[in-house]
Amino acid sequence: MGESTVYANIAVYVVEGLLVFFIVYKIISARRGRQLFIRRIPGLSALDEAVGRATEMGRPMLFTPGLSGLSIIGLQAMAIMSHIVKRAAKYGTRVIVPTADPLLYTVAEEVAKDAYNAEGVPEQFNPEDIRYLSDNQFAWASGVVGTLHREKVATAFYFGYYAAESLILTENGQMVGAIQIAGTPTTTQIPFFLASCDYTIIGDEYYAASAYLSREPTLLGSLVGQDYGKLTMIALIIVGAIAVTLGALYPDWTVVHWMQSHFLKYFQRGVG
Amino acid sequence: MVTWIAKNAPAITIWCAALSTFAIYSVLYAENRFYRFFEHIFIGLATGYGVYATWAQILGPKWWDPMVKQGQWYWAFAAVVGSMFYFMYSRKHAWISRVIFGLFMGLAAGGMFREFYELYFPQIGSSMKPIAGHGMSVWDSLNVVVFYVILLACMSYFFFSFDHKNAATKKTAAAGRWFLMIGFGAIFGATVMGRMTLFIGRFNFLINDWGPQVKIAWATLPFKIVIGLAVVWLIVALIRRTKPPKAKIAIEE
Amino acid sequence: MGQSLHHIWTWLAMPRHGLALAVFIIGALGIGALFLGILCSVPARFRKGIVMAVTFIGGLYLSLEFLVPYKNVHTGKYPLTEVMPTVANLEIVIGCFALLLGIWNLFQIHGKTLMKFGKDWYNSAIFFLTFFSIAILGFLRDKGVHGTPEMFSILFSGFLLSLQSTTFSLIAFYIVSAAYRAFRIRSAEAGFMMVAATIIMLALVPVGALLTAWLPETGFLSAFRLERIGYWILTSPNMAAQRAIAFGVAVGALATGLRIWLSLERGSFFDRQL
Repeated sequence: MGESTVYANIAVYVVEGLLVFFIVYKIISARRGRQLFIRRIPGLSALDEAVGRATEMGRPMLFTPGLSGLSIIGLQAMAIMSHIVKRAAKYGTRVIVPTADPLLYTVAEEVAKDAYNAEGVPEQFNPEDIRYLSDNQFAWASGVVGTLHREKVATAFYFGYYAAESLILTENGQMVGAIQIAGTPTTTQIPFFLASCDYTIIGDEYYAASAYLSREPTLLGSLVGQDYGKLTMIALIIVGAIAVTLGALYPDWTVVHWMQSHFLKYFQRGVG
Repeated sequence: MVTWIAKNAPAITIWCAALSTFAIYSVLYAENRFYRFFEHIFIGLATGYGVYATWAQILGPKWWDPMVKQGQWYWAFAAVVGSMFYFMYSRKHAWISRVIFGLFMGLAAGGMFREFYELYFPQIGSSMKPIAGHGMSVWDSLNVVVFYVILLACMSYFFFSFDHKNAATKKTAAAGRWFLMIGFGAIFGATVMGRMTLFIGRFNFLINDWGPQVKIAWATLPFKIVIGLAVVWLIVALIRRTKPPKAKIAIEE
Repeated sequence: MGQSLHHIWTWLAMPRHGLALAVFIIGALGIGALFLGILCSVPARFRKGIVMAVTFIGGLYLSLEFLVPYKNVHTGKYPLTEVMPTVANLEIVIGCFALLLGIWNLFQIHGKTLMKFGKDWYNSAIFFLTFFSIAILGFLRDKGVHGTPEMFSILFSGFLLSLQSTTFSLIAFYIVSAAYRAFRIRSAEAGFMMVAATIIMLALVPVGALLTAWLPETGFLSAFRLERIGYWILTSPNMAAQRAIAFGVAVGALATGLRIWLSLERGSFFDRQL
């Protein structure tokens, strides 16, 4: 520990500094009242429709944060859950939240309680609907499967960190005829959600969800800042591509050597 | 009893495993009592084992033993901090649980700079591919161009603050989504064989491990009686399921 | 001054045994209780500030450790990195105390069903039975009690592991039904995805290779052999698409992390008055 650990270098300061600058700058300008545009995200626009369907059918909804713990992914899932529970509270529809992490379970309970309070119906909050099942991946999944069937859920939301169990959940959701919306930053599970859910939030859209749903200036500003951050990364890759191409074509050029020692070396190669 | 169980543990284990396998597979047809029973066994065992493992692997060696056996008394403060979670059940002092949650959230968020560097810097680096160079064929160059086109098109799909009304951005983002589908298809396709292997594993267990046990048990009369009763029960259950109840017919008439 | 502080610190950190240990532990718990008592009396207007400060400090430690690595010139070591294993241990240990919160929820739900002899009460009974059986047998096994290793093994290997691997293997069935549905009724996009999936699937099995075995192994036409197409999809379009997602997710996670760290996150949980 210590000598073998890697630490920030000049490239980290520049790249991450730029990303942080864009995000914070846009948050500040949004909080000062600047109007920001966010394009439509179909999967997220369908959330309200899905809540409405459960209300019409008089059946409960299910929201699972997957295997998320108290991490950035888990907290983002809670932000989305807050929106869904508020909508559900408005229409008097039950939301069942099976969790797989004891820490996130407690946060989920708080979020749900707050959402019902915010809608002025604290009496609708049923602590038994926010459940801790197990921290074992497949025990949790089998519990969610059982819940899907026994409660005959009309709508199922899967937002958070998922692993192999994703398909088990969504296929059982299909069996009970639930409308299903999923979102996860776990790339390997997106195909299974796409194949078995009605709407799927892909990759980065997951982090855009809370801003999109709440229209809260801070979150919108952050989302716009993220776009600038992605532009920075594109620019970085384009400059890098030019540098390596020049390096391959004209290895003796001074500028090539300079680029190698001042730019390219900070981005270790060999992954993928 | 304990001695008998200990003596026959391997066979009992196989029978339990076979029962568990059938119970879980029964959900493929429909959720049923058999599945539900085993679902609760599963959750009970997983959580109970979790408690045991938490003590045996974490709290015991990392907290209790250093505190009690090695005399590092200051580990007692960890219990005090841990107790802060439980203030969430207090109406008046629930905010104290937020302090400990805040600490955990801070720690989760604080690792972001290192994570970004360790996970994504190498990926940025390996995305910097030479388009041309000595020893590169036209096909190699074309391949790299395809890589860049797909990368940029897909990234353009994830821009949220630009309106996709402009024909160029709209088409690029739309193409990006289609390219993403190719990527997802690749993940889907590459996963299938692995998942099939899992099923083959269970099937293999039933044939090669459980099969011989069934053969041994078949030689005994009680087993034949149990199987006979089970078959009768299954037939009755199936008939009940397929025949609508008489009362319902009477109402309809 | 500094030296006497160091002496006090060394004296406090010394391992204790017997009665001294008991006194020190009780003392530590007493100080902890006092600390919690003080927290209980904090006026409402300071509460949010305390939570924000604690969140910030938690994030600051890990950020400084990476971004501003301070190296002790005398020892040649990085103090912040050196304490990392201790911090990680503390985090794990404290996190473990939260496990009971989840278990309490399970006990409440199943306890209620069992007390009322409600519908499916026997499921709740088996939950309690298995929960306590495996936990108790685990501890007894570690103590070497006769017969417990075998009984633990029945529960662990016979039930738990088997239930786990069977549930995992369910995916083999569901993957087929999901693929079928994606082809049949889902969008054109899902269909497109499944075409790519089929190519990859075929490319990874010998049957797939046989289908295009009639194509030459070298030259232009060899590029159309299924295994080559599959390999190309995996290493080129798939890699590019996955990178694009990864970069977006990276920036998104950084932004969310930053908002949480600086207490800029919004939503009911973060906005609530404490």
